[in-house]
Amino acid sequence: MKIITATLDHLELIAPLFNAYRVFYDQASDLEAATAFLRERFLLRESVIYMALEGETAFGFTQLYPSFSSVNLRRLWILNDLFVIPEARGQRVGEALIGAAVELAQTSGAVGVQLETAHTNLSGQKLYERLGFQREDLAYRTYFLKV
Amino acid sequence: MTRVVQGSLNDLETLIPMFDAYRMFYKREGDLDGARAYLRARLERGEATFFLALEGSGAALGFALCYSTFSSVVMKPLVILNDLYTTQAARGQGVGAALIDACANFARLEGATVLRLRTATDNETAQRVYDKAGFKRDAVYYTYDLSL
Repeated sequence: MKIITATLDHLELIAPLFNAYRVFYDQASDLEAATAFLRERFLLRESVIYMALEGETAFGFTQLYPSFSSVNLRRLWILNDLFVIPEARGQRVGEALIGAAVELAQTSGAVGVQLETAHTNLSGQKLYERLGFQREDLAYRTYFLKV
Repeated sequence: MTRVVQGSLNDLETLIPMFDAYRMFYKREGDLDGARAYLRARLERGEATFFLALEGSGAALGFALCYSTFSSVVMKPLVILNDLYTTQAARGQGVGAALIDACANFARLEGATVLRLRTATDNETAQRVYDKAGFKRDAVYYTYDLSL
């Protein structure tokens, strides 16, 4: 298995995984819209996607959005999406993808990597904590406004 | 009468002292030159959007700064209200609410469904403002940070 930076050339390989990821989060399956969304991110360079590949098969991906920490005057990466196909779980694919994300953060001079995970996603939390991520819920609260 | 305007590179010198005071509130060293370089880069590359609250006379009362990102799950833009600041003298006059309103409007124009922010748990003053503006506290997700 190798981790590569996905480009527009990998759109057809990555879109089904992105679609499956969204279905996992209770969204209706829509491969066409998923393809269009990713194409736009690639063309406008609005995200970075790493993909786990074995031969011609994609096992998983992570998508990062560039963001910033104003108080630190530094770049920050939002690790927004992480997905490994069920058949490939338990083989540290997620760990390898996060490793690529951390390397990106280091080489781009970012202050860190930030992610959100559901309270109910215990396996995700275990993985993030093992890789050195710290839960911020005691010091900070997240609020949202529907617009 | 407070008015809120979207800021541009031309308004940088109005923003910088407030941005610096905001950073010092979060226990960072004041750094006007660092703030200038940082904000200039964000604005030149279209990586941030900010709003200024101004008095009738033109004096600055506060600012809000947003970063645009995406919600992959709903495949729509998402706007982060990252920084909100009201000058000491202007607090308690609805300046924060007016700035939040401008950010919510901007998020709507961007095609976002959500305006998101994080605030320190002990900043109860800010939380009252957010509650009043209609924000809901997220009860589904934890935020994790890896600091480099």
